[in-house]
Amino acid sequence: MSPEELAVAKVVQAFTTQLPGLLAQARPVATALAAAEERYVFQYTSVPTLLAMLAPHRPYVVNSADGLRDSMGSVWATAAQYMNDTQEFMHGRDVFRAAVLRAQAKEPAPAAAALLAQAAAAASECDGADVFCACFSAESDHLGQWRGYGDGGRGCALGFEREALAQAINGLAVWVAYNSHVDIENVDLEGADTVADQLVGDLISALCLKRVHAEDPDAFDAAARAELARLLPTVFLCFKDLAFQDEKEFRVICSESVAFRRLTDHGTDATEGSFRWYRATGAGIIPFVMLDLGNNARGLLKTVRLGPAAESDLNQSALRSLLCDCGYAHVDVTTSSIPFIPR
Amino acid sequence: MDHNLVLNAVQAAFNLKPDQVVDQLTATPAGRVYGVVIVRDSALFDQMSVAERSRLLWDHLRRLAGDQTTNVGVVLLQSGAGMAN
Repeated sequence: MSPEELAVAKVVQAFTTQLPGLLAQARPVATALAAAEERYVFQYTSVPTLLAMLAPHRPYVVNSADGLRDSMGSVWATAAQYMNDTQEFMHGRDVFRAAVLRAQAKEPAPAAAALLAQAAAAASECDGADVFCACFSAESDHLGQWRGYGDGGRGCALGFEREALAQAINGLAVWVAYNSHVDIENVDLEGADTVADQLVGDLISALCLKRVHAEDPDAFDAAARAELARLLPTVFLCFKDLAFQDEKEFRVICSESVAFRRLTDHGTDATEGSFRWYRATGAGIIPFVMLDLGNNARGLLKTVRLGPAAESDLNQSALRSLLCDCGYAHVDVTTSSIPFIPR
Repeated sequence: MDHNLVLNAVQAAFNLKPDQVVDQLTATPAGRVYGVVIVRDSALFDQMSVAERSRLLWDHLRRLAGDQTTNVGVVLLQSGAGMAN
């Protein structure tokens, strides 16, 4: 790493790690979550995926206390390019680009202007190919979530303690910020987006702090462009269209710049492999990564709610039995109260 | 207020005395505090990664002030052990 690359990488990693805090300061503007809803977050999934997560990949592990960490020691994060709504990434990109345009319109100082230009270029270039996302909702029993992510109501919702999950997981844990649709060709340069404008301001301000010390500002700018191209897909995934606001979504995002690289004062001293797994769905083959939950993986899962089309007594009994066999006897099993029968 | 909050959080996060912290924070015209804090002579701090330091700082910021009561931007934590940037 050149001195410029290292300086930029440290700023970007500091920004990334602090992103949940930066977003949280603006969250009352972005979402309207009631405090009581925030303690737990729920991941809607299909029963086959639940079985694959809970039950061991290797049968001999079933009764092995050590081996159980191999199974529910992880949360699955899907490659961003393969998420249900492919427009999500584009929406986040447009929100960010609009904030950059507004910042550029304010005639910033030369250093900030140079970095804003690099940010704009990086936003256009990046594709999110190596970013993975696990999605949760503050809602434990939500018809839209059942339909969209819970196998049409035949699946289940895994309830995790949010704060403990965020602490344990190797990824960026954030509440999604909801924004109106952005027409990137006709951005209102006099307008404002409280969250996005603040994030862009924070990022550029932090980079400027180091650019002023750079012996070669052009090299610094080039390094910024490359590093931002790696970072920005993660930022884009922090935003979603206002139409999805009732999902009250919480995400864990991971990528090389967020989770898989260990950066110290002197450079990168370790890069963890993000081993990719693949699962089959009706839409095709979906790449994903397993995010390790650490030694207390079992303690993070608090409830499993069966979907409205999977709430039979037999299913409840089987799920309780499965949970007990896998070391999750403490997990509450509940059922959906939504009167929905899929056709 | 947020300026001192950040310095207090840095000290608490890395168990530092006041003379181990060099304040190079600044603020935007809107009062948003950001900038550099240099940490001197801390083995704990020096062995941590950039991400670990940042995560620990924000954990303490939240403990001290809560999520929504601060006006703090990016804080760059820098070792005073001979690092220019």
